[in-house]
Amino acid sequence: MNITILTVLYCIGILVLFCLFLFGILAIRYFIQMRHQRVMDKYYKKTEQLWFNYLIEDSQFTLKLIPKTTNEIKSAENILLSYINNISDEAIQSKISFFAKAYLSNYYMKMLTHRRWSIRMNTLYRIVDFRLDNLVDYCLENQAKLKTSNEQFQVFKIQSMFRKESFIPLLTTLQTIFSETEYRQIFIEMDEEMLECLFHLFEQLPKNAQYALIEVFSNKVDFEKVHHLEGLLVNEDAEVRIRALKGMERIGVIQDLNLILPFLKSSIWEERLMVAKLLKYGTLDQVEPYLIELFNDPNNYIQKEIMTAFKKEKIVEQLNEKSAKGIVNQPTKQQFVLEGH
Amino acid sequence: MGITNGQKIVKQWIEVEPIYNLLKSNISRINLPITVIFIKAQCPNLLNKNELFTIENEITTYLERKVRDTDLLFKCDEVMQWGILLIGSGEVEAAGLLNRLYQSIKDEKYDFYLNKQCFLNALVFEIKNSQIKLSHLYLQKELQFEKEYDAWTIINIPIFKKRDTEIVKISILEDNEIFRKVLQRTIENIKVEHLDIQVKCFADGYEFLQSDWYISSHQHIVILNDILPQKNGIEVVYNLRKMPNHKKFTIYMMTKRNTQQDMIYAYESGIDEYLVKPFNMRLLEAQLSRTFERV
Repeated sequence: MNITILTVLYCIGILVLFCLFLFGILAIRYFIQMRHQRVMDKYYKKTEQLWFNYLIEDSQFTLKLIPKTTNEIKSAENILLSYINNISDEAIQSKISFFAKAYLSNYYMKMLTHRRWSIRMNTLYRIVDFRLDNLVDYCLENQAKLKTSNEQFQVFKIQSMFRKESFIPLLTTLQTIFSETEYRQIFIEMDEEMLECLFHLFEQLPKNAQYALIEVFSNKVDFEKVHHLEGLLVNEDAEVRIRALKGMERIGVIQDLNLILPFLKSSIWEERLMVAKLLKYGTLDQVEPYLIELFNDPNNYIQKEIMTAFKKEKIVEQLNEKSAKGIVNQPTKQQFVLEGH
Repeated sequence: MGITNGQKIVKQWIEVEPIYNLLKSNISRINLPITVIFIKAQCPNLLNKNELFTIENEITTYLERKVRDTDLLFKCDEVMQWGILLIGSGEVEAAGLLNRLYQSIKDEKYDFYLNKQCFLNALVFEIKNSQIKLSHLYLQKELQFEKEYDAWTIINIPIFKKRDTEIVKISILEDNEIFRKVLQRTIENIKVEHLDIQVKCFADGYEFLQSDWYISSHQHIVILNDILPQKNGIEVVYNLRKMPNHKKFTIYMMTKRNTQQDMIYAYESGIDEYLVKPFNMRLLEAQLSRTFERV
C-alpha cells in the first residue's frame, strides 16, 4: 500500500516537473516573441511617417528606412505588403520593388532554402509581391529543394511573370500537372498577346490548362474572342466543346448559327442545354424552328430553359397552340400550363 | 405695407428682413447662396418731385413684371431705389438678370429711358455667410451708391462671399493599422478653405457604432472596409441608413470584390462610392474633393 502511494506520488511529481518544464519553454518562447514584436513595433513607429513620405508624398529616400535586423525586415515587409495590397500605383510598386531588391534580396535568398515549408512559401509569395525578378534564377537553381506542389506551383507562377519568353514552351512540356484553378490563376494575370499564343498551342496544353484557358477567355466578354471559341466546337473532348459553348453564351453572341446547330441533336444533354441558352441571342425568325425542337427535348432542364428565356415572346403562344394541337408532348404542356404561361 | 401695382404687393425694405434672416440661416444647411441686388435709378434731367414719383412708380411696375416669381422684389426707403432677393442664385445669375432688365428697357423704349434719360445702376451682393445681417448690406449699399458710376453698370461686391467654416467628419473603418494610418494622413493633407475636416479612425464596425462620433448633424463621410472584425461594413451601412438623418452620410466602401453583382448589392445597401482594392490614392482624393464640393 505504502509503496503504491509512493509510486503515485513520484509519478505526480514527474508529471508536475514535466508540466513546469513545458510551461518554462512556453514562457521563454513567449518572451522571445514579445521581444521580437517590440523590435518590429519600434521599427514601425520610427519609419511609418518616413514610408508615407517616401511612397505617397514622393519625398527623398532616407537610409533610416533600411532594416538592420531580421525583425526589422519582417516589420518592413508588413508595411510594404500593406501598401501593395491596398494601393494600386505603378510608381509606388516600383519604389517598393527597388527597395526590396536592394535591401531584402539577401534575406529572401536565405529564406528560400529554409528547412521550414511556411518560410519558403512566404518567400516565394514575396518574390511575386515585390517583383523580385533578380531572385528568379536562384529560385530555379534551387527548385529541387522546393518539393511540395504548392511551392512548385508558385515557382511556375513566378516563371509566368518574369520569364515570359520561356514560359509558353515550359507550359507545353512540363511534367507536373496543376489543377484548373491554379492554371486559371496564372492565365488571369497574362496579357492578351500571351493568351493568344496559348490559344494557338491549345492542343498541346494539358487538359486542365485547356479548360482554364477557355474560362479566362470567356470571362473577358470580348466579342473578338468568339472566333477562338467557335474553333473549339469541333474538339474531340466533350468538356472542351461544352465549355466553349458556355463561353459563347457568356459573351452573348452568335456569329454563325450553323456552327451550333449540329449540337441540337447531340447525345450529350449539356451540349443541347448550351444551345438552348445560346438561341436567345438569335432573332426569333431565325431560331423558332429550333426552339420548337428543343421544347420537345426529353430533358427537363432544356425545356425549362426554353420557357424561361422565351416566356415573354409570342413564341410562348405559338408553342401553346402547337401544344393544343398535340404537336408538343403532353407532360411538357401540363408543366407549361401549371407555370401560368 | 407695400406699394400696390396691379396684382402683386411689392414689399417694403423692413418687411423683407424676416425672410432674409430665414434664408441666410439656411445657407450652410442647404448649401445654396442668396444674392441681394440693389438697383438705383437716376434721372439727371428731372425737374420736380412729382415727376420723380411718377417715374418711380413706372419703374416699380416694370420691375414687378420682369422679376421672377421665385425672386422677391422690395422697395427701399430711399427714393428710386429697389432691391431684389434671389434665392439659390449667385452673382453670375444676378448679372444675367440685370443685363436682361437693362436690355429690355432699351428695346421696349420705355418713356423714362427714352424721354427722361433715366438710367439704372445695380449692386450685387452674393451672400454665402449666415452671419451677414441685412443692415450690413444696407450700409454697404449706402457707401457704394455715394460713388459715381457710369450708366447701366453692374457692380459686384464680393465682401460677403466668404463661406462659413463648416465641420465635416470623416471616419475610417479599416482593420489594417498601417493602411488606416495611410488613409488618415492622406485625408488630413486635403485642405478645403471653408471646411474644418475632422478625421477619426476605427479598427472595426463595432467600435465605430459604440462611439457617439457619428451621432451629430454634421456632414459625415464614412470610408469603410467591407470585411471588418466584429461588425462588417455592410452591417455598419445598414445601421447608418436606418437613422432619421442618414442623408448626411456619404459612404465609401473599400473591397476586394469586383463583380457587378457585388457592386449592385453594395449600392442597393446604401453605399455611395465603391472602391476596389488595390486602388489609386489619387482616385480617392479626387472622389473626396467632389464630395467636399457638394458639402
